[in-house]
Amino acid sequence: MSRADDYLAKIKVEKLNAFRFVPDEPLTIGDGELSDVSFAVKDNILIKDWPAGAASKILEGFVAPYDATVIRRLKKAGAVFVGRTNMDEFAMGGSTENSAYGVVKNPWGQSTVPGGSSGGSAAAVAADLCDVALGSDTGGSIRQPAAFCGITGLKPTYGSVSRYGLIALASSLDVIGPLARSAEEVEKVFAVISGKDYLDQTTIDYTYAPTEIDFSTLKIGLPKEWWDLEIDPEINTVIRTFLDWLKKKGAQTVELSMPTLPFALAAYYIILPAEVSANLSRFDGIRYQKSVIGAKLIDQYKNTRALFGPEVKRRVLLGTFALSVGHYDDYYEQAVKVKSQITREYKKVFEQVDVILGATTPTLPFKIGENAQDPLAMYQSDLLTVSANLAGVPAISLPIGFSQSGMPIGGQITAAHKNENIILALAKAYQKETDWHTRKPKEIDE
Amino acid sequence: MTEFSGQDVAHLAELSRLQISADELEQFSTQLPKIVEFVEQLREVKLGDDTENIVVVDLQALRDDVEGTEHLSMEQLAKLAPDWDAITNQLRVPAVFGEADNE
Repeated sequence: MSRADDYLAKIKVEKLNAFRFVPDEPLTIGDGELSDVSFAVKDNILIKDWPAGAASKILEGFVAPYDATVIRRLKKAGAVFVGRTNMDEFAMGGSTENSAYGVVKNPWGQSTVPGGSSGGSAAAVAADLCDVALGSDTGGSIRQPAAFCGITGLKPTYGSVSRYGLIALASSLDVIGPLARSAEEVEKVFAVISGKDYLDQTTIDYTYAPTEIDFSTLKIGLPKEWWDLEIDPEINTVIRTFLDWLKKKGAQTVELSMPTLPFALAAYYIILPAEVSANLSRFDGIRYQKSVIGAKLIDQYKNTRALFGPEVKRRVLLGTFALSVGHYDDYYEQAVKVKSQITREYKKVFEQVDVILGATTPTLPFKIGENAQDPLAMYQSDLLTVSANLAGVPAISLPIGFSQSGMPIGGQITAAHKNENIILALAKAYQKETDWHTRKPKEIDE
Repeated sequence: MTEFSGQDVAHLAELSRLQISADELEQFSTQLPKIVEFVEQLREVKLGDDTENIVVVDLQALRDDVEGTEHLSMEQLAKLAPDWDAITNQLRVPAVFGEADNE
């Protein structure tokens, strides 16, 4: 029995609801540097001839007619695919409670959420149901679930990984990235999936080159807008212990200010819904199999789009509002200006320091249902992650400790455009001396 | 706080081609104003002298003549359509205008 068969057998009986589709046999085609590495793939990244639904009823029955570029590259490198993972519908959410197919449970505490929107991917890695999972990150959807599930997740530089074959959420922010236990595995996958793609006009010329960390010259930025925030006290303690480790290694710390950072979340919740309202207009009951017939064409649109879940509808309405006459200048135009100002602040800061450090999330994984009725409370879980998407810079979340209650805590390292090698080298150096990333939830400890 | 009447939400739903239930209408009429109130803090941002919008990456021209680029066939697209006329190779949709519109 191969490793992949082993995983498949476990996936078929898993109780976390982490998977949306499980094949009869593992899928593998090529042979290369990722041979024998088993992948679970978020339900919004297309794999030819496999169902793809972004965990939405509106895509029920849709089978992908082609491979996403990342899948094509992984297949060529010998990757083995063992299933498709559950997620928040169309990647809208921070808890995976918005899936039309039920909530995913966090393997570290099954009454808590795994984070989102790549919650199924993070839970699958943490529960040892695959080696690596692919996710997508528009405002924190790889890093936040990675933090909640005690694993490593990379949100790459915008444009470094092709979005061709990714079901779009907000096209100016979306990026595909890997989740795995260690930064070493994440790096191996990122090296394969990154690079220019003629099928995505936003991809950049980029060849990943690993590097080593020289702590004696490393400068770490600590934005006061993050470090002065009131976050969970246990996270606060753990992130300071991580900072102490970096200082002991010889790194220099620089306290700095990014005054527009506190407005990132508000800008994000205008830009994202605006792009969502445009991107999701394609789901009209004509192009993607699922259709609810109406007497007239407009009835068919509306009847079919009634299949969207409440969070999707809420964001579409908000986006339509922000883009409508009379509100466009006040909201959308202003949000785009704020996004640019945040990008300028990141650029300026990276002239001074190599990386920026902070917690990934302001809270520990919350209980299932705790924020379900309060969208604003749910949006707060993106507080520390959205700015990297607005500026297009790479950021990683890595496990740096646990709470008293045994829930994982993540630290976030951000670098300038195309500097994935620095954050990955730093994460690898930390993981050489710590074992947080190798720990497994008790229930599945073998 | 920005006011959202049920009528406003219904109008936004109409513009968005969304069918929403009475419960959703009530829920969104309460939630949307709170979200809009939250994003209104953007007005407080002091924008610097440089207000030029930054595009994170330069857009590249899309090419479809690159070797190895696959295109979807008519058959593949037809499979995805809810109603496909195989004789004329056309997608069939309900009438855009109903009888009432023609009166």
